[in-house]
Amino acid sequence: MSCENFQEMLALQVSGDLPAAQARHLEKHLRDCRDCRDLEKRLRAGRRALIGLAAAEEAPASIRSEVLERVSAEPKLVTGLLPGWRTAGVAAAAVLVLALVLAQFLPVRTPAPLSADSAATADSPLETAMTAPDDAPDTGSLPPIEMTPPAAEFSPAADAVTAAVVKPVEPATAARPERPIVSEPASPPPPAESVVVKMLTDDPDVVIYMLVDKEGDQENA
Amino acid sequence: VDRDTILRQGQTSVAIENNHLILEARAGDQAAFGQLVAHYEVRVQRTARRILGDADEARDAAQEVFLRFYRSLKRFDQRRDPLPWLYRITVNVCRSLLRQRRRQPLARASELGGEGSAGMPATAPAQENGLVARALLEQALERLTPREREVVVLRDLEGRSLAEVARAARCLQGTVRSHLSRGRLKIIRYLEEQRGGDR
Repeated sequence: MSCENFQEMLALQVSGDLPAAQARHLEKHLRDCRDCRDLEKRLRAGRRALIGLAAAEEAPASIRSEVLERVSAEPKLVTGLLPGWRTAGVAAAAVLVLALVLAQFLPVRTPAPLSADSAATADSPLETAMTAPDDAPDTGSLPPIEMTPPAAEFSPAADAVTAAVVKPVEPATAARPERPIVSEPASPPPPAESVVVKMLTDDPDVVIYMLVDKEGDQENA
Repeated sequence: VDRDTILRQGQTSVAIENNHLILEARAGDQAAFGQLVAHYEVRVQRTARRILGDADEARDAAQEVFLRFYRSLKRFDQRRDPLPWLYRITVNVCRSLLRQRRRQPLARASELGGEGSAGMPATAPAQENGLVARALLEQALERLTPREREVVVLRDLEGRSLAEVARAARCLQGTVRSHLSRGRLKIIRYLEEQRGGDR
């Protein structure tokens, strides 16, 4: 490879913008090539001069008043979510709540009743809480689960429900009613455990709290 | 810790402080928006001036940038630093203006650099040398293609990372590297030609 091929690499190397593999290749060449070492020095000096150029520049006159004058002629911004988005957000939250509640009440059809072992080996605590039958033994306290939405770039980051935080709360002490499609537990059922579901929307004024126990008894919404 | 890292850390912390200004501006508080303009206007104007090569046009461009920023406030995520977004709008506005002109920016080193090599006031030799060097750099920048100038201005003069430059210029990082290396080499060669010609 001739020196000419290394010049573009050198121009990137001076600011650390050259990929590592190419940088190693260039490094080997520089050991043997005095001309390229010289060019590297000149490129570094040129970059320092450009950085200095920005630093030495006088601040331009302010445009603040002109901008504000133009902004005042603009129609007023709609704050918060647009009406359509607000409706969509509330609707999405309602669907989520409904799905959580239904998941507790609908009968779970399984080939055989779940044993304590199978419930305990569920992939996640949430899965255990959602799918285990009512008599599944308590697998321990439910750790907090955070469902964070993917970061959006320069866009409405969270137009609807942005996050749901599930926290464990004190187990309910009330006796639970018997449910169908369950096998008799080997031991008396443990006290019910409840979770608080907090749903945040893009509108800071709209926060939905819901208290749900594992058996699906929605206590508050 | 290099200059770029310090710049980014400082700008990020300021961006966090500006979050409430964005919220207030979005709620219709024009004074809050005025504070945002005051905070970012120098960087926006300086970038536009380097890309356009014309101070008056850059001033108009910067106003347009902030007007577009204002219009986009309602869908802007206030947790994010507005500066990358402002650079991106700046590049877009400058490209539109360059398309309207249908010509490359003229070499106006004397205008951009304050006092260029011509018509220079009587100054101390060191300061004089500095002014000549600045004027040459201005001329070198203006001889780049618009794309090369965009990436050199954003990377070297504004200290943005390669990824940020790619986002502002809406191209791949590989493309930014190509423009950047060619631009830097052109600048060095131009400076060496000028110095050789003076001897």
